[in-house]
Amino acid sequence: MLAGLYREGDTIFHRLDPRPKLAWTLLVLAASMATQFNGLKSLPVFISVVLSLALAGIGVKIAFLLIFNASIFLLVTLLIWLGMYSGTGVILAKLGWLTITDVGLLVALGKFFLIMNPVIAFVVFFASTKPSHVIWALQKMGVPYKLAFSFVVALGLLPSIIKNAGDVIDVQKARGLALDRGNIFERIRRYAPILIPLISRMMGDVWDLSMVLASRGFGYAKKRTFVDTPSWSQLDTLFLFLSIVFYGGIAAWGLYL
Amino acid sequence: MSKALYLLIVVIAFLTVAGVIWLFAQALAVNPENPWEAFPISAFFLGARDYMLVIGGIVWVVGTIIFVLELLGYTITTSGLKKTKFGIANWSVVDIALIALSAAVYGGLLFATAPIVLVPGFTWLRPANSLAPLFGMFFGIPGCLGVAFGNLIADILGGFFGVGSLGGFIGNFLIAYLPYKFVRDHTFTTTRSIGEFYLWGVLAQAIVSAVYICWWLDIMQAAVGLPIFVIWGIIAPIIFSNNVVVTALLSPILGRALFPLIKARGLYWKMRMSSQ
Repeated sequence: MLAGLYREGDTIFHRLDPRPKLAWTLLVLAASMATQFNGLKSLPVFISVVLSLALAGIGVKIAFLLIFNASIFLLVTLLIWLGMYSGTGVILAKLGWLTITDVGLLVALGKFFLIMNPVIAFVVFFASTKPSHVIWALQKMGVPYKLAFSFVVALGLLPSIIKNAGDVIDVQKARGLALDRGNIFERIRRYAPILIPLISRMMGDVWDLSMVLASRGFGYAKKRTFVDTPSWSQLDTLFLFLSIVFYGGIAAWGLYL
Repeated sequence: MSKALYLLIVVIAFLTVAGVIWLFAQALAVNPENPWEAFPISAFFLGARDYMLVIGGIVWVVGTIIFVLELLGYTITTSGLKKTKFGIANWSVVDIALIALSAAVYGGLLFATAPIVLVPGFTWLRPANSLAPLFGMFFGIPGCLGVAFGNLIADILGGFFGVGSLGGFIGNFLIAYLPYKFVRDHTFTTTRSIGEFYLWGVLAQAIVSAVYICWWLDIMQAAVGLPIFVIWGIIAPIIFSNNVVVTALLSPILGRALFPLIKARGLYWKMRMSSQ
């Protein structure tokens, strides 16, 4: 029930300690920032995160969502940045009012990768890291335990909440609720019969979850311990080293060459 | 404040809602390909960018300090800094459950409910946003934090998670925090309650959240990768307009219906505080 975005698996990403994985996501972000004005230089970062999706065994559904979002971002960033750089560089093509230049194309791709690379990296992190390991890693980074725990529990509860919301919407539609009819005031007001039952159900869940936590002695000990803690292995050192070399090299390429 | 003043605030809020809808419809008629160019609220934010950077800086510093102080268990009052029972160290299992569930419900609904089409091309009204001020008013700091986490979760699920999400995190906390802190009567049955809600839960939170989030996006532009005209000309008016319209039209209806239920279930923050 509390698995959330996490997908059980035995891939290389699943076997890694959460700390080098978190460092990897930050390195992806840094390299994407350093190469944001040249799409060719940030292309290897994009390829590496797409490769990580496959290495982490991410399901088709999540991969499809990411690809769908990526195509929207690609279209938007292309339109915005090609338009802004239409007067700079060599003209490659003219599509109606849009002038495509070589500089515009490189910047547009660089900005697209700047948005998408960290998104994919964070999805890989959450999908390949056990919720308890995320809490453990956040706690190691100095995030208060209760804060980290409530965030990870919320992530885990999402699938059932989204299903509940879908059920309530279907039931109310079956009773004749039309969300897409009427003027704007009526359409917004019609969401009340969906939101009120959901909040009402949530109130019951709050007490249930509280009792579960209380019965397990949550918060009694000042120092939390974990049954299953990740341990740093040679694979983690190698992964971190390779990540620093690869993304550090790309960042240096983007900034200085 | 007098009854007349509360009524005036409600009238101003509804005029703002009507103005937002009418102005965008006009902008769409003038420039169907790019209505943002002709949208006066976009022009306002873009034209006032220099002022916004100063005001946003102040809002960001104050908002972030408030966020940290509240998590540490302190609140700013007219008589100085006071200790509350809502700091992380004091959180009970009910607080943890409230944070987790309000985050999951808010984030899940943001993700699951389709945006309302106001006029074709103007599809960003999100009914789930109407819950944010209510979670703050009814559940206190756990509700505010639930809203912040919920927005972060919606970003992760929707594929928008990045550096900009930090601005959205505390910005959404403030959407819930302002009505929690400044609305005294949470019943939605008196003129005072309605007036205070429209002042803090509709108008103030919409301005503060738009300025806070867009200031952060502007300052972190090198990491976020959005051009200035997108930040102030599209995102700022979207945040402001969506928050004003949805909270003005839906939140009072929900609040009126939910307040007695929440009180009866023993989850209203004032009751929980007095029982501790």
